[in-house]
Amino acid sequence: MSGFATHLWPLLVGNPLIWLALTLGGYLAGRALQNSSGGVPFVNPVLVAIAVVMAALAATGTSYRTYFAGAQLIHFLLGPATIALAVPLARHFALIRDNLRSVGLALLAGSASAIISSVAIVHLCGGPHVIALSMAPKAATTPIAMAVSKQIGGMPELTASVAILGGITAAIAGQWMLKMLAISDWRAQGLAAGVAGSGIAAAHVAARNETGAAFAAIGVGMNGLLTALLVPLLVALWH
Amino acid sequence: MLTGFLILMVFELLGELLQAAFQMPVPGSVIGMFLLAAALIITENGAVPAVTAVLKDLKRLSHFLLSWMGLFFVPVGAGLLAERDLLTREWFPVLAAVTGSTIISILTTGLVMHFLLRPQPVHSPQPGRVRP
Repeated sequence: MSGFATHLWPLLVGNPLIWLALTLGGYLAGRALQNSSGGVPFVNPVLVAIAVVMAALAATGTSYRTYFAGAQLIHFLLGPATIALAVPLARHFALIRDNLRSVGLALLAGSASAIISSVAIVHLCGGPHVIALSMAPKAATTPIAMAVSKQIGGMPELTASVAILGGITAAIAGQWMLKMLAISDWRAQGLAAGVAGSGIAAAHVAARNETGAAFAAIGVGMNGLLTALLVPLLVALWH
Repeated sequence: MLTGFLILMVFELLGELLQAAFQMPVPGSVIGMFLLAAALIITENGAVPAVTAVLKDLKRLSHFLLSWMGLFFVPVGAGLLAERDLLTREWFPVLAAVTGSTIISILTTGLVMHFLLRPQPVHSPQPGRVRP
């Protein structure tokens, strides 16, 4: 064991394969768990994989930077996958155009409620103002959320973390909550996932239904734009 | 699926270029997504045989990428580790606001859609809500 630790481990840490395998393995384990549990919402493959990776990094004392450099190839596919959302979007364009008024109003309501409620809840729980500012843009897709957070004086790294937590929450709770309210329409589910949980929740919907994917794509794209416009405006009004 | 991959990369690159050139507040990949959607809507109207084969390839690839999209968020998601000090110190307001506001936003978006949407034209007509 000590031979492994001193001689082989340093070789493995620098090899991207171990971090790629860990990420893929964690995700596949999460999917297998989800299938065998009969679809329990809390067994989300993204959440399981993140937990596996974080536990492995903590156990081996590896830094996040070392891991991220290794898992770069999987991270890279996020770009092409985002562009790929254009396919369901184009295919269901007529359906979106026919419901433009509902989609527009739902976007505005969903975007504004995410911003206002996150700031309000932090203040109600006695959290510092800088955390409230960092939470305000969290429903937007991560690069937009981070840029807006920086612009209004929040902490961009915290914003990225809560954007991911929010995405996982939306993926876990979204479908289940809307079903309880008897909202089973994929147009509503897709848009709600895209607006409230951006990419992670959109990915959850896109893997299940094509109409849902189209509305999730609109939700992610337009909520990003709206958040970039609304958050600085609302913060200016607040002061 | 390589032709499809090339198309996705070209549009991502195009989005990144536009984002940088015009200092747009939206990430390049989102701009690329809207550009490709527009291109697909335009080409689908005047179907050319060569284009149809390429589109089929693109559709197969995008189906594959979208069904695995969750995986691609894991490397960024593990970045939670770098924020663990702050998250353990202020866990209560952070967690309350993340879950609370995400659920509020889902319900608001979903309910507004539910009450304003026209019934879906092809399948699953909603009983009790008849609209012209």
